[in-house]
Amino acid sequence: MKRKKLLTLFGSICLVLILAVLPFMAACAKPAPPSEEVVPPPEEVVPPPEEVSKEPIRLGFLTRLSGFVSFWGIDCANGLDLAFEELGDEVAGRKIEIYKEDTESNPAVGLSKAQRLVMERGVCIIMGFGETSVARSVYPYTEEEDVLMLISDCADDDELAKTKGTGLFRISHCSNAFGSVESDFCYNQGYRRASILSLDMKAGHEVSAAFARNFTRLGGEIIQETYAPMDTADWSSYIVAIDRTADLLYGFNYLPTFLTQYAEYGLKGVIPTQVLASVDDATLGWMSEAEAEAAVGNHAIYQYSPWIDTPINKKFVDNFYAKYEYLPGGSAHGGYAGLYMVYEAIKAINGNVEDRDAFRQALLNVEIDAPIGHMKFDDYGMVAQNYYILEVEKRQWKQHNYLNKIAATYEMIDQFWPYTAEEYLAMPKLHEFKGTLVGRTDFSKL
Amino acid sequence: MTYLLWVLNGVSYGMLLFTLAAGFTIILGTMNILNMAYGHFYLLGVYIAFSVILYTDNWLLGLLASTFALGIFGMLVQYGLLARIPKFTIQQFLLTFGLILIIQEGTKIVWGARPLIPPLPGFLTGSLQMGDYGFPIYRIALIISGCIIAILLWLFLEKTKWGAIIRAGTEDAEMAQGIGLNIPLTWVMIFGMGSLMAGLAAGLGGHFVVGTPVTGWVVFTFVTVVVIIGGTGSLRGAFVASLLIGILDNIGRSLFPELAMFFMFLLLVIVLVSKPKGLFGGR
Repeated sequence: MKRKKLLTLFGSICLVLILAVLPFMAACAKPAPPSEEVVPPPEEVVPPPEEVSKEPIRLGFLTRLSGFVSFWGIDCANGLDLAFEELGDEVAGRKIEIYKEDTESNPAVGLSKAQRLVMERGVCIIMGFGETSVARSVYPYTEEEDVLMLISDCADDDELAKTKGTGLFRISHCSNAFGSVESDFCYNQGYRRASILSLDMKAGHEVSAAFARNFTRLGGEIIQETYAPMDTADWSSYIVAIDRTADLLYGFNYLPTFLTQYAEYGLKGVIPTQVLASVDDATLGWMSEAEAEAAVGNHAIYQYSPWIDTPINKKFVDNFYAKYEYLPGGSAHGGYAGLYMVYEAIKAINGNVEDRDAFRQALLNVEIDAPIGHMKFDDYGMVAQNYYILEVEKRQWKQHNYLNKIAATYEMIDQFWPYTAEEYLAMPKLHEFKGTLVGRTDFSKL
Repeated sequence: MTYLLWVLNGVSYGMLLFTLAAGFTIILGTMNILNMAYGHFYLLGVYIAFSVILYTDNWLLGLLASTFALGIFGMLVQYGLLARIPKFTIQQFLLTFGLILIIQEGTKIVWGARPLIPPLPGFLTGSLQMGDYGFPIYRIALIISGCIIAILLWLFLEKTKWGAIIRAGTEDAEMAQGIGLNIPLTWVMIFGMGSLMAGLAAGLGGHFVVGTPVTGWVVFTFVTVVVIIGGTGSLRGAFVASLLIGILDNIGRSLFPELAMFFMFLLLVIVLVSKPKGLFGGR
C-alpha cells in the first residue's frame, strides 16, 4: 500500500513537471529553418474571387503591456489605436476586429496568448511583440498555423533576418542597422577608440557587435566591452570602470538614469556618449531639469523622430499628442504604421485574407509613405527605412524644455547595411561575438 | 582613487540598503511577519515622492510625503488586514502577495509604466571633485543620512519608552499584555514604523533606485539578503550586512561586470553555511 502511494506520488510529480515544462520547451523551440522556396519578385497579386467572405477580419496584437519596459508596449498599442481610429473599422467591405493580449514580457506567456488569439479569435495576423524572445517563441507556431506575423517593436537579427519566404514581417528597428549606422556616424565625427557599455541581453549583444564590426571596418578600435544586467539601477561601479583613454562611450541600455549618473561622476563632456538610453522625446518630458540637462549632447539612433519634417509626420504627431498628451516614439510609430500596412495589404486583395498566400504576397508588396518616411519590405520581409541620429538639446516646444533634434539622417537603410544579404548571412551571428570585441578586427569568423 | 570610489559607492549604496532593511528587519524580527510587499511599499513611496516633488517643486516635502504616507499605509495594512490573520501562515503570505499585485497594477494605472525619477534639490546636485572623477554630493548625503538614521533608530529602541515596549513585546507578548501593554496597538505602530522606513528610503533613494514596474522585486531581493546575512531582527546586523553587500556588489561589478550579483549571493551562502542565524541573529 505504501509502495503504491509512493508510486502515485512520484507519477503525479512527474506529470506536473512535464505539464509545467512543456510551455517552456515550446518557447525555446528553434525557429523554423528558412524556407528554400524562392520568393517571386513583387508582382500584381491575382485578384481574389468575386465572392469574398463577409465575416469580420480579425487581427491580433500581442505586446508587453506589463513588466519592466511595458511603456514601449503601451506606446505601440497607443499608435495602433490611433491608426485604427484614423482608418476606421472596415476595409474592402469587411469589418475589422482587433484583439489585444499582454505577453507580460514572458516568452511562454506570449506563446499561450498567441495560441489564444489564433484558436479562440481566429486572427489572420498577429502584430506587435516587443521582445525578441517572445517573437522567437511565437514564430514557429504562427508558421505552423499559417498566420502572418508583423513585428512592430523588436529586433533579433540573428534568427529572424534569415526568414525568407515565410509569413514573418518586420517593421521595427534592426540591431545591425542600429549598430552599423551609429558606428558610421561616430567614425565620421572623428572618434577612434570606443568603450562599449550595454545591457546584458541579446539586443545589447547584437547592437554592440554590429557597432564594433563596422567601426573597426572603418578603422576604429574597440578598447573595452562591458555588459550590465537589465535591472541595473546603480551604474556607479560600471561608470568608474570605464577606460579613460576612450574617446567615445557607446552603449545600448534602457534607463535615462545612466546618463544622469554619468554626469554626476564627471564624465559628461569628458568622454562623449552615443548611448541609447531611453531619452526619447516622451521620456524627456517626464525628466527633471537636472536629469534632462545631463542628457544634453547625448547622441542615439532611433528609427523614428517626431521632428521629421514631413506633412505626414506632422499630422501623426499632432493627432498622437492631442490624444495622449505625450510625443510619440519608435514603438508608437511601429504600432501606427504597422496597421496602415496591413490595411493596404487587405485592400490589395479585396479583403480575401483567407487566401494566405495572396495575403502574404500583398503584404510583401506594400509600400507606404509613413511618418518615418518611405517604407518597403525587402525579400526577407524586413523594411528598408530611414534611421535618424538624434541629439538631446535644450529647446522649447509646448511645455517641453528639452527635446531631441535630428543630427543626421540615413536614408532607406536595409537590415544588412552596409553589406549585401549574401555577405551578411555568411558571417557568424552577431550575439556570438559577445565578449570578443576588444581588439577584434576580423568579423568573418569567430 | 578608483578604489576609494568603489568603497564610497558601496558605502552610499549600503546606507540606502540599511534604511530599507531596517524597516523590514524590525517587522520581521518583532512581529514574525514576512512582508512580501515590502519592496512594493518602497516603489509606492518613490511614486508618491515623484508626484509631490513634481507638483510642489519641493524635495523635502516629497521626502516627508513618501515617509509618512507609507507609515500611515503600513498602519492601515496591519490594523485592517494583517491583524486579522494568523502569523507565518499561508494566508499571511497570500495577503502580502496580494498587496504586491494591487500596488503593482495600481501604480501602473496611476503613474504609468515609464521609469520615474524623483528629481534632486539644488543643494544635492553637483559633485565633489576627487582626482579625475567627480563624486556626487547626493551620495555623500546618503552616507550621512544613513548614519544619522542608524543612530536615531538605536536611540529610539534603546532609550525611549516606546522602544522598551517594542522590545518587551518581542520578548514575551503575552506577559507584556498581562502587565497592561496594548500589544495590538504596539503591532500597528511597529508595522507602521517599518513601512515608514520604506517610505523614507524611497524619498532618499528614489533618485537612483528609481520607480519602474520591477523595482519592488529588485528591492525585496536585496532587503531579504541583507536581513538574512545580518540576522533577523538585528539592526546592528542590518547595518553591517548592508555595508558589506554595498561594497562587495560595487567592487564585484567593477572588476567582474559579467558576474553582477554573484558576490552578494556568494556572501549569503557563506553566512548561511557558517552562521545560519546571520551575523548578529539571535533566533
